[in-house]
Amino acid sequence: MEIRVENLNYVYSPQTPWRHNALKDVTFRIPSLSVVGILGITGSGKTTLLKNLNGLLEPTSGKVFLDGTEIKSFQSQAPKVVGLVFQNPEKQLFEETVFKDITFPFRFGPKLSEEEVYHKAFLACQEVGLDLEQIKDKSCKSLSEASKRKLAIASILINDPKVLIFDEPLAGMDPYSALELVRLISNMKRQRKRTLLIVSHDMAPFMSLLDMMMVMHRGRLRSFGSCSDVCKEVSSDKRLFELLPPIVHLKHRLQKEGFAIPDDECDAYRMAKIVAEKFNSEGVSR
Amino acid sequence: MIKLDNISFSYNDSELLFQDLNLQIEIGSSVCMVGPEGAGKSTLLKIIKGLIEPQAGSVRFDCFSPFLSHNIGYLGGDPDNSFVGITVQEEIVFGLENIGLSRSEIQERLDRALDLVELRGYENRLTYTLSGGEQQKLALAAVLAMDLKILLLDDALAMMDSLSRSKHWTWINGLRRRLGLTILFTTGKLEELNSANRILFLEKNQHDFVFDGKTADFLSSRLADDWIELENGSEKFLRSLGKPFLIEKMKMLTTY
Repeated sequence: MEIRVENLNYVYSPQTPWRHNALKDVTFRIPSLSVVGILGITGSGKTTLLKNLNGLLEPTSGKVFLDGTEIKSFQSQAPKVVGLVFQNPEKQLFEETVFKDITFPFRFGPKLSEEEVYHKAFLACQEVGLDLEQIKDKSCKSLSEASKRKLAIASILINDPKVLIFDEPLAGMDPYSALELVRLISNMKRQRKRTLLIVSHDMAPFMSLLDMMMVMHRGRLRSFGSCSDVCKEVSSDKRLFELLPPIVHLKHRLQKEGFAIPDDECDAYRMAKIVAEKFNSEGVSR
Repeated sequence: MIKLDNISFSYNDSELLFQDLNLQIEIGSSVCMVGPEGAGKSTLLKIIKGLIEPQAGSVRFDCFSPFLSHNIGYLGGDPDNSFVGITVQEEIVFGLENIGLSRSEIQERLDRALDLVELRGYENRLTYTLSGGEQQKLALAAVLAMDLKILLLDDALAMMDSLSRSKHWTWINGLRRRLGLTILFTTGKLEELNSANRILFLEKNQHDFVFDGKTADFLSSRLADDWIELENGSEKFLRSLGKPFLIEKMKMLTTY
């Protein structure tokens, strides 16, 4: 699904002393099925932008289009089309059992047969690597933290959203569970079923998945395009350059030192190989 | 010395999370606890803070007297849950009023806290309109305004951007050196391990620490493999170089 945003503005608590202009004239277009990484300093408007994309917030002015249709015309249905995985999504789990939680949307929506509901739940769980049959009667609270987060994602996938947005997907996770989640998102990219947006302060684990990058600054879109273009563009602004993952900094330093690291390279292992090969070819050893 | 003696704890009676766990932490040190989820890192922090009580064993703070509960600051990863103030200012002032400080002292500490976490100008913002990272800054400011002797951070800076995070660590470490603050923390970020002078690795269903030693030793152990892979940064780069002389040569480039 293509996302197009035109002159988007959003103001919190307008006409009060607490008025806060969180988004200012944001315009961009994300092609269907892309994977986009969104970076920005704390408080730069990233989460507000996401909420405008899935209809949770209504723009103060400006427009959001999904596949050419303005989101306003189906505001209440938008969260089903654009799934938003919040920071700490496991906080949203509230039902007694896993099965009840994941199939919650169908209690109010169009009537489906039990088999159909089960099948949808099964597919959603499968996509995140959970075995529904094994956990369906368990209490959500009894699951491990990683499984809870996966379940929260599955309960969004059950609507089969065309866009899936992750807001700080790794926050609060230990590195071992985080790695599991990175692999999960990498699988989603391979399946090419949805447009994926990832907001993270720690983009390093996702760098090799991204087709595009977006940098937000003080409510404005500061840079948007391919990863290497964005990295180049923000490198003149020290504060924004710091936002880029350390691997990008390392790449810049290596390039400055004369190592032939391609602009789009972002894997530490491959960079090390290039460096080691250069030393080998020069016959440097000890 | 902070002493945990023979701590035993379980959430449900069937499975013990800790059994006869002993730990001694020196005053003024910075200790990072790592390990898979469910191993009990957060639980141990909560036991030290006194939020939960172990079934057996004791936690002692012999070195401080008198020792008051507000001398220990505890921050979880989700500050939104702990806010009591409606505005930023109210949140910071709440604790200070409760310990009966004078108006001028409260104002002074409020000013200092706001400057420290760079939330000056946010005094009247409603806490729920803050971003995740700003909320974590606020929670930290509110805790640091108290008379802290021990700071417990349960992945409490996770929602900040990397620059804010490293800035905050710089001044947390500064406070540690200046005031002799003792810090015990957990984190999901590899680079934050450098703020610790001791690493403890807690494994699931093990009743003692699998690793207890220096940061550099931890990073070169197998225990750090997954983490280094995830971080995809300088540690992985250096490891992948293989040859020791290359690693030495390249270390200069990877330090900031």
